[in-house]
Amino acid sequence: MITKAMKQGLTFAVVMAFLVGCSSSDSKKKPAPAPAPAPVVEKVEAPVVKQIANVVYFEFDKYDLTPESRAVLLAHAEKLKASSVAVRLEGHADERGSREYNMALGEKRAKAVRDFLVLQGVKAASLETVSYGEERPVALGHDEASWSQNRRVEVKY
Amino acid sequence: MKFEKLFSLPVFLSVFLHAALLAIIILRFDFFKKEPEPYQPHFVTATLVDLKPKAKPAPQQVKEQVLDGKKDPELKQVKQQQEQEQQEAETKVQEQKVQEQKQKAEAKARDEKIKAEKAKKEADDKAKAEKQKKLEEDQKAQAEAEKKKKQEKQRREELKALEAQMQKEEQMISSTVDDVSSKSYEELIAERVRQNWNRPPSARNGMTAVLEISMLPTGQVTGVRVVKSSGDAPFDRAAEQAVRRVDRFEEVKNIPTAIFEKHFRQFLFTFRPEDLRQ
Amino acid sequence: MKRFVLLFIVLLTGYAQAQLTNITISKGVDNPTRIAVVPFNYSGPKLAEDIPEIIRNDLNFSGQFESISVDKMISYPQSEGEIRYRDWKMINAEYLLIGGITLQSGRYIATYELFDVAQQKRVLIKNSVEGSDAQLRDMAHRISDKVYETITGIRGIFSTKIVYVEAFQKPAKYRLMLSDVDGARSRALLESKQPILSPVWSADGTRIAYVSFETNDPFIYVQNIATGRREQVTNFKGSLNGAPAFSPDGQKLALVLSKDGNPEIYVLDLATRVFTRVTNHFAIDTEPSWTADGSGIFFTSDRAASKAQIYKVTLATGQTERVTFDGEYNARGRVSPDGKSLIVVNRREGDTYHIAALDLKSGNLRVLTETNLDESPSIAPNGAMLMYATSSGGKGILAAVSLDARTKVKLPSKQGDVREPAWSPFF
Repeated sequence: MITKAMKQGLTFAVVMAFLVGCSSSDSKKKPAPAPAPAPVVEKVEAPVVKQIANVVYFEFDKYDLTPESRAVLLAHAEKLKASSVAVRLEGHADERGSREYNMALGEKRAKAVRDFLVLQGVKAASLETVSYGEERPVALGHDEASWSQNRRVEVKY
Repeated sequence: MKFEKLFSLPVFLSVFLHAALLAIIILRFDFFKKEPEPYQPHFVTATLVDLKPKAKPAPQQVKEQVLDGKKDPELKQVKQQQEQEQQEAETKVQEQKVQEQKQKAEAKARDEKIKAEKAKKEADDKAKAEKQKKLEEDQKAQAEAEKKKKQEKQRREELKALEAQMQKEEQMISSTVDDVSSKSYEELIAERVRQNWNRPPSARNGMTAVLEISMLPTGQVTGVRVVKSSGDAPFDRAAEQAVRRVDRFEEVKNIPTAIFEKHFRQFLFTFRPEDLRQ
Repeated sequence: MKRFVLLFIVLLTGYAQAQLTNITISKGVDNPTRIAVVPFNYSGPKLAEDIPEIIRNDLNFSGQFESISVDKMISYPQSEGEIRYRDWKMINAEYLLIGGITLQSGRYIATYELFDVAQQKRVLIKNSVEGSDAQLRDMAHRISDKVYETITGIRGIFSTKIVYVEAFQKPAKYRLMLSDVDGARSRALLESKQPILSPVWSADGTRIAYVSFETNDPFIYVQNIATGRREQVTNFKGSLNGAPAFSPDGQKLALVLSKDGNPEIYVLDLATRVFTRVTNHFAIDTEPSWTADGSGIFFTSDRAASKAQIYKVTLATGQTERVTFDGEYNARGRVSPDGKSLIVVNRREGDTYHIAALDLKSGNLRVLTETNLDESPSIAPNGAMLMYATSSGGKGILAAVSLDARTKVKLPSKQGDVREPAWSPFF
């Protein structure tokens, strides 16, 4: 049996999950239960909520953070400091070069992100790092356009 | 010693032959150092006549001195005899002189005759030669004219052939020869073998195999033998196969016989790669 | 006295020989050796495998040979007496292999003889191999091995195997495959929805080790080929677990862990399960591979101005020295069986990634491949060629090149993207 409350709660959870990925400054409001018309909340809040990227990118053969990456990660840091959500930082590299070296490169990138977040005050224990090297590209072309998309760390909540 | 029994006779023979060879080499030098023969002119006979009269007066003077020292009556007769003898001698000398002059004149005449004859002969010869020459020149001129005609014809044909040949050579895949006269025969032979030399994967720079090749004047290879192995059997085999695959060196039949016998009837081929890895 | 005379004679004759004209050549053409494998004499029900055809393909695969196709052959001798050498000279065959197959009480017996066409003589006396119906391919490979070794002096690799990873997209699927070196008889050793990488063989050919993400995190597994039994040998979560390499004696596994802060090389004793740390540097240290005698380990590190280069550590002393200097990037070093060369993934400035051979003595680096984005080289156990991964037509394929770079072969592509070949040892 699915009660109305359960239905509401489920919708709320779905919306929250969606908002967690997209919201920025409104994060404080998240734990508070949404008003009854949840879809209405979504409609009202969605245009106001700013979307944070879940991916940061890197230069070829480098694992230091660009200013753009820092900006994105600052936003995540704020989010994470408030909650105790566990996050998995997945590091990747483009296909060039040997596979295991790229595994190490991916890990360096993931750890660079983690270290930055920790510096911003995020609890280290909530951050997990893993590297997929070149094994899981998002773009399959053999050119810079694809490679630049693959040199990344994904923030997975 | 067994050693001695096996080698005594052949050793002796061999040493003897070698020594004989050495001796000949040394002694031959002397054969060529003959004294040059003295020049023998053909008009020598006149000179001998002058020598005889000079010898005679000298002994007569010695005789007179001995007779003056003896008895007077005999001395007058002797003196008269001597004076007679002297006169006779003088007349003889004069006669001789006259004879000499005669002979000289005769000789001179003879000389002049011979000279004249010679001159005549030369003149005749010259005339003949000039006649001959003229004839030859005429013939030559004719021949040259014909030759020229022929040459032009040949030239035209040759040009045609050359053009065809050049076209053929351009189409040839092998980069063997552009100008046969400029390359040595060794290079031609080397190039043919090079084109057939497949180095095995075990080959490395510095490996060396030396083969002894036996060849006929037609260029046909009759024998291939490894005289120095590289130490790597596939390497040696690839070298042998390279030569056997050529089988007949076409260019060799153009080699002058003397050069062929000296250099190419039997020769060595060294395979030493430099373009492989270490 | 006699000895002296003999010596004198010998010297004279030697002097006489030295007078022979001596022509030297230092370059050749290095065309593949043309060999004619004549259809074998056989009368009976059609065989499941065409043995002479397998031999022709094997010899072609090596790159050292060029097999003459059957339709070019003028005659089909089945015994030495039937050979007319001019028939083979005419088609420029250098070697001639003839043979026959008979069936005796359920076993197949294949006999074969090899002849040198240029010298018109026999090279191999009649040899034979035998096997069951299921072993026809193995019999053919054994004949190829024997022919290859007879002509080149190098042991043949046609009876070896390879392990490789095949990857599919949408949905993502990864398979660890085992096959003959010619790609035939392939079967999956592991299938997963998550990546598999870095397969390696033990020196005795009984086990492989690899990295698998099947539990969502990368861990190292050791699997027995024959039984399929495997065990997980590392379990460090939140760390790299990668790049396994069996020691030459098979007792240890070198690998990479970042549990202590950054990627470092460790050696795991498979008996005691004790980890010993080998490198200690804040830079990336990865891709360990053993020297032939097991006394040292080559590895990739970016400690030099963050540029990947290869180093060697002597295990007894811990002394480390840099090994590669040519190029902006040198990684994944594997030493050749003769210990003289290190095969690496190399990138020179302005160029792309190629497989190269480093002469360990002279330091001279030779680029071997002309394909692009090459990686994961694996050397054949005879040291004459290596296999590597590259892409062709947007697809991942395997290719092979001889160590003198003279012959290059591309292996036929499979369904998915093929990568990470690992060449087995001799069995």
